[in-house]
Amino acid sequence: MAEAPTPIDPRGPRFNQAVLATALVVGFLLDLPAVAPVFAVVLLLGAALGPRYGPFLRLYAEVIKPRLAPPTEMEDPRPPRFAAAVGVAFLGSASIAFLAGAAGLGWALTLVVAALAALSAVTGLCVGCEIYALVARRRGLTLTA
Amino acid sequence: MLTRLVVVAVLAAVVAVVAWRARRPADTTDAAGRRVPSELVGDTDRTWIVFSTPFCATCGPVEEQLRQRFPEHDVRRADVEQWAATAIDLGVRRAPTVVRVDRAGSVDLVLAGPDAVRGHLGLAALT
Repeated sequence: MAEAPTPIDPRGPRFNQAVLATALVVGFLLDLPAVAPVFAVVLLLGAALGPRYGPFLRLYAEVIKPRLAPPTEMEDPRPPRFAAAVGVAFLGSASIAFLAGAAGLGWALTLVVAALAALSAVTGLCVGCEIYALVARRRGLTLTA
Repeated sequence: MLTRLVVVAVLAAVVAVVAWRARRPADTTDAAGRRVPSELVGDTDRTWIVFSTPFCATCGPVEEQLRQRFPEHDVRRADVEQWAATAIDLGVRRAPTVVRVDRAGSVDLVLAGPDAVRGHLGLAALT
């Protein structure tokens, strides 16, 4: 079994999700389809390379977190990274839809990501993380830190 | 633009409803007086049972803090899936939820969430 990674401050991913939800909604309101590929790349950087490479995760870690009290809860980093990967898939698909001229489908996919990101930012309920949890349980993977 | 505002408003309403339904439960339950299965009860006067999940990053530190603070008591970890019936009976909805029982397995204290445990133990942080 692989060694469990170091737990992270869950407020980092939540800040990232708040920025993501806001940007996607603003992009929708202003009819800026470019918001989908741009944030697909933003999510991809954090999901594939780690929080140091996610622009808003890094902004949180270096600028916001030092001004806050220490976190009272920590979380395993793998579920939010998986959730970000799901977001990349949705926003990537949305980008392709926009390129193909299917703007309605593109915005539908984009708004799904926006809604789930907003839900996660507001409540901490991360649907992608729950999916990861289900898969992990079926594989017998223990993620306790 | 108006149509898009309406779409965003509907989306926000859906998120708000889901958020309201998913809001966190209170830090206490009314489980005091209930009993836990004897397999979870140690040989000491009090046993601390840490209900955890595979994803609970703070359960380990909580368990360790309890062991350090109460070396005279038994401290046990209970996975909520393995002990689902007990967890449901005790109203466990957060991890960690710490339950203190006597030798008979009767619950006399329930602390739901790391903040509640931290407050009970007078700790500054569990990280």
